Amino acid sequence: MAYKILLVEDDAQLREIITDYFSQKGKDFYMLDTASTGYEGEDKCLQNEYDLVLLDIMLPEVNGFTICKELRKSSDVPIVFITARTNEEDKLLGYNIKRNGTRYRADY
Amino acid sequence: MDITLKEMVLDTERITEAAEKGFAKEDLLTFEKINPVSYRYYMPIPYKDHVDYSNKTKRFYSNYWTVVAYKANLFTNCAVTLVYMWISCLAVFSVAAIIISNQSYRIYKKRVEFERYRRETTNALAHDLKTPLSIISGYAQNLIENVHTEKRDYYANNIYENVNRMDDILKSMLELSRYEADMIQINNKVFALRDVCNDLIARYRSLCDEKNITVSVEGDGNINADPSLIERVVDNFMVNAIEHTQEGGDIKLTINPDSFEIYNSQSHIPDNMINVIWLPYKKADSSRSNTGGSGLGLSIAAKILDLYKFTYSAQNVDDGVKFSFKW
Repeated sequence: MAYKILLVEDDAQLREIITDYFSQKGKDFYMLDTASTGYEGEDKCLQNEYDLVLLDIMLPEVNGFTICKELRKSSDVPIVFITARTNEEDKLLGYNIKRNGTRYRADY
Repeated sequence: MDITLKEMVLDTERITEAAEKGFAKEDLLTFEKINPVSYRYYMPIPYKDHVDYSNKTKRFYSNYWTVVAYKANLFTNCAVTLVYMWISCLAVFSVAAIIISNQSYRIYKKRVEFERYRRETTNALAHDLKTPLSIISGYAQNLIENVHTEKRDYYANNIYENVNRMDDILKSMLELSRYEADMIQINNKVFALRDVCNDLIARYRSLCDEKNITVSVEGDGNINADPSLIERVVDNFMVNAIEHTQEGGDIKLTINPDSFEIYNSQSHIPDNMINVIWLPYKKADSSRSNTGGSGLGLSIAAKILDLYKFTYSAQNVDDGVKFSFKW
C-alpha cells in the first residue's frame, strides 16, 4: 500500500522538483498530493487522510506554523516542516506546536 | 588662643615691631587663619602727614599709625558667591550628565536597532538566497538521479534561471550597500521624466504583453536630478507594479509638474505593511517567494529618494496600489 503524502509549498518550482522525484522514484511507495497555499493544505488535510504532511513555513495568506497548530487540534498526522528558516526562534516555535521534524532547504 | 580684634589692634608690641621694620610692604597686610573658613586681616597704616623717610635704612617710618583689622568668615562673607558657585556647578554638571546620558542612550538604542536590522536583513537575505539555492539543488539532484530524463533541458534552464535570480539578489544587495554608504557619484541635470517613462515602457513591453497588462503614461514634467538614479527609481516602481498586477490588469504612470505617480490595479498592501515595504527584504506578501523579486527594489528606490530629500509614499486606492514621489 502506498503512503499518502501531502506537500504544502507555494513555490511552483520546488513543488515540481519534489513531485517529479516522488512520481518517478517512489511511485510504488508514495502518493504525493500538493497544495500551494496554507488554507488549501488545511482543507485537503481535513478532507483526506494522509500519512505525512510536508509543510512549508513561509506561505502566502497564512503561515505554516498556524496551519500546523490548526491541524494539531484534530489530527495526529506526522508533519515535517520544509523551510529555509533556520533561526533558533523558529526551531523552538516548531517544537512548541508539536511538529514531527524539520527539513531545511538547500540541505536535501 | 583666639584674640579679639580690639586686642589685636592694641597689640603695641606687635605694631611697634612692624613700625621698627619701617612698614615694609610685606608687613602692611598680614592675615591669620583662625579656622578653615575664618581669617583675620591686620593692616597698620602710617598716619597721614606723619611719614618720614630714613636715608639710613632706606625705609619709611612713622610715630603715628592707624591699624585696621578685619575678621572675615567665608561662610558669612561669601555665602552668596559660594551658593551661586555651587548651584552653577550643580547645574552645569546636571546638564552635562543629562546630555551625556541622553547621547549614550541614543547610541545604545541605535546599536540595538542596528543589531536587530542586521539580524533581520541577514536572515531575510539568507532566506532569499536559500530559496533559489534549494531549487537549484533540487533540480540538480533530479538530474543526478535521472528523474524524468526527458526534462533535462528544462531542469538545466531552471537551474540557470535561479542562478541569475541569486545574482540579481546579490547585485541589488551590493547596490543598496553603496547607497547606504553614500558611495555614489551624482550628476544632476534637468531632464524630462516622460522620456524615462517611455524608455521603461518600451523595455517592459513584451513582459506586459505576456501578462496582457495595459500600460499608459500621461502628463509631463522636468526634474533636476541624476537621470540614471531617477530611472532606477521609476524602473523599480515599474517592476514592482508588473510583479503585483494580475493578468489583464492596468498600470498607469502619471507625471505632474512636481510629482510622479504609478498606479497598478488588482493589488493591495496589508495595512500593517504599508510603512515597512520600504525597508530592505520586506514584501507585502509574507511568503516572499511568489514574485521572485529580490525584495530590495523599493528599498533602493527609497534610498535614492532620501538622497534627494524627495517625499514618497505608497497607498491603497480603489482596486489597486499607488506609489508616488514628489520633488
